Amino acid sequence: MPMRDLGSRQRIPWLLVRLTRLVTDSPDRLWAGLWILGIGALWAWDAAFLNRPAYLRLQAAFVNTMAGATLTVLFTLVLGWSAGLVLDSLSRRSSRIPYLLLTFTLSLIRSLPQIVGILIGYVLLTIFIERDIVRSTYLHLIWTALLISVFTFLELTDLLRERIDQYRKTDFFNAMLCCGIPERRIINVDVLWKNSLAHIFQKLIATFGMAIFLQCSIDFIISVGLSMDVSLSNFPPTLGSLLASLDSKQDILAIGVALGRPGYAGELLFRHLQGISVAFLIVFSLVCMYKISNGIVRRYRL
Amino acid sequence: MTHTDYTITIRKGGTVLVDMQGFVLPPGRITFLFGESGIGKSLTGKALFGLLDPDDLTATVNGQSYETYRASAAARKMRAKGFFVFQEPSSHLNPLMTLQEQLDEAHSDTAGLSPILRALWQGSEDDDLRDLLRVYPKPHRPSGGEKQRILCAMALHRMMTTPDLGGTDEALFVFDEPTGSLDNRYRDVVLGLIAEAFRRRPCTVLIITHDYSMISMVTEHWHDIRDRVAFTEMTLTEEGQRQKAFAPDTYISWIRKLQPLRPTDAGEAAAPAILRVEPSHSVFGRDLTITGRDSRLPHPLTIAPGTMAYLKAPSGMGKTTLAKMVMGLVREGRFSATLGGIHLSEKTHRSTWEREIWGRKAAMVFQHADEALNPRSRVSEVFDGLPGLTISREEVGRRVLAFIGGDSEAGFLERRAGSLSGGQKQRLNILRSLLLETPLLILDEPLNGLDFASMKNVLDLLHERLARGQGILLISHNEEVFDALIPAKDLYYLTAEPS
Repeated sequence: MPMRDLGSRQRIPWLLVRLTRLVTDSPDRLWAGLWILGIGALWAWDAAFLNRPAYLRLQAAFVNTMAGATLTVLFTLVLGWSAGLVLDSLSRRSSRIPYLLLTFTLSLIRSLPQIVGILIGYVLLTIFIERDIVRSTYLHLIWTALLISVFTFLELTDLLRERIDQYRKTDFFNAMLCCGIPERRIINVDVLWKNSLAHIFQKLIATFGMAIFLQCSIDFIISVGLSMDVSLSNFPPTLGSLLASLDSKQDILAIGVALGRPGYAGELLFRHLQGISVAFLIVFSLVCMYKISNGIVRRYRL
Repeated sequence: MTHTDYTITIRKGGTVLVDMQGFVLPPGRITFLFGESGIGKSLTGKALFGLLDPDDLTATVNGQSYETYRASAAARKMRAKGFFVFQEPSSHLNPLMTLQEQLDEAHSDTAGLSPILRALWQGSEDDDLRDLLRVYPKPHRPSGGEKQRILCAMALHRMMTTPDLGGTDEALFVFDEPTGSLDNRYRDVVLGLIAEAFRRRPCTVLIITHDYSMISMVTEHWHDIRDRVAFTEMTLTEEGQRQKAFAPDTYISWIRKLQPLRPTDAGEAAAPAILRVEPSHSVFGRDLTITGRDSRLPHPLTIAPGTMAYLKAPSGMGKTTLAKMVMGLVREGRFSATLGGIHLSEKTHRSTWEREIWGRKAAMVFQHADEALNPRSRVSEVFDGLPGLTISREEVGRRVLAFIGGDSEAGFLERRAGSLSGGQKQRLNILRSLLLETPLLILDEPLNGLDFASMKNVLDLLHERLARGQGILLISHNEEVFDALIPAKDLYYLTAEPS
């Protein structure tokens, strides 16, 4: 019903109904909207009350973190999709050796805790930086994203293989095969693109959240330093590295102070804005990604 | 039932599922409702009986809200005294009660049930039937046919024995595809029992089906009640669904005029067979044999260019599985065949089918069109990727519209396959394989879900393909049609191998 047909007294229930529908039917959209709103509100607040150098650092850290997470999603998609197709193809060959070799290699990656694997990768990255192989911020971000995606793509691979195996049993898969339609096309177009897009999208949203978490965790951990010549200051700023800086740590400690002295709480939003903003961006983004991912599951009944 | 003329609308969200005006259901008569699958026959029946879920669908009946209609005295009596046999019987049976408990629960007087059950399980021992009735309905036990017969037994028992049916115009008995999972023998038994129950106690009966061969059964065996039987057909028009009278003579005279699709041709013996399947094979550990019509002895199934072989067997024997083995889709068995000069067996590598057979030497039309098409594909995309297609995408579109009859509908080619009616899906399913022009075409129940006009169109197309030298392997329960069309020498039977 168009809004213009409604009087102001009717608009409130109408809005409530729309809002209730949004919450119940599309929680992913609701949380995506909340995420953008939350980030926007923080941006406006920081623009008004955070000092200029800190504001620029925070901005760069946020952009780098989001760019890193987006690149991770991209690499995860490419690696996960390729591995899924290659595994599926090898599993149908008469010779089992290539399939077993690839499965063994992937199992090795799977057996390594993500955070340990990425730390080892950071050591490698440090060597590259020391030898001047990796110089620019872009290359840093690309390497970091590639590194994280090596430890996240297997979840996508598992999902794709599960979908392919499920659809192999259906009549439409076999009916298309019998008509001579190439199996690659059936898998890529009919199974994965047309029937699994929501599943894949949900997994990539979860990967995005996971990438933020892993990147921040690792940056925080390596704030102790990786080598004599390379430290966090050689890396592009991210939310993790910014959280690990002395200023931010003091800001976070101030939360504890405010818990003991409630009158001090107001100061958190003005005097300790850098650390509070970084912590908020990390936690709020992770919560929103989790909610968006679950919302997709609910909306598409995955 | 005070109304015999119904106007029914059913919506789901913003989509109109049924917009039926002037649906006639004469009291005290048996009304057959034919029509292609998926156009709203079952929904109409459920709406009349008061079975729609108001949380899921919005409906009106004769201008009343569905809640008002359901609560009306006439609708309540119709439900309380009548019965609805569901197309998918699993949805009616309680999985936590044995079949016997459910039969006993439905009827206080169970004495009349035994003769009905015995009639519906002809050839079975009483002990077997007792064992079956002790079973809890689970997905694979009892079979779909057994569940369907149990439901029919409940309905028939109520028709025959309920003390107060309230005259001919109060109770409504709806049989929704009551023989969909049964072979021809049990189809005739069920129809015979419905007629017998009606003779004893006339009431209002609606039989929803797309099996036009029921017409022959009625005209041949229901002479005494023929004047109380109405044949109608539901069609989809631009204004919505409409019910029109279906003249049984149209079907009967058509059946009588059917000639073998290709008369016996001495010349064909000289042509090398497109397909030869050796008679002895096994499916999932069960030994089976192919025999010719005139002999119980093993006989290889051979298809020469321009001929159609008809493979017959009771439901569940393994006809479809044999076809899938020939197409390399089922490997759990033993078989030997030669297709277009290539020897095939269970040991043949899959790549042979990929390179040589699929879409090149043979194509197969699957039994259930609902499952054979990707529901998320648009109509125009169903043909993408077909090998060796020499016609343009536009020409494919033209043929689709001509064959499926969607030419009057704007954007038909852009509709998702999942949104089409069952009959449209089936025609799309058939057309995809026909466009390939492979030497061999395997058709598994090609007339499933089609209305009378579409059946004739499909048969015309097959006739044309045979004339062009294509060979066809046919599997179908529609014996009335295909027995008339296929010469006796091309009939094959699948039997369990004699010990």
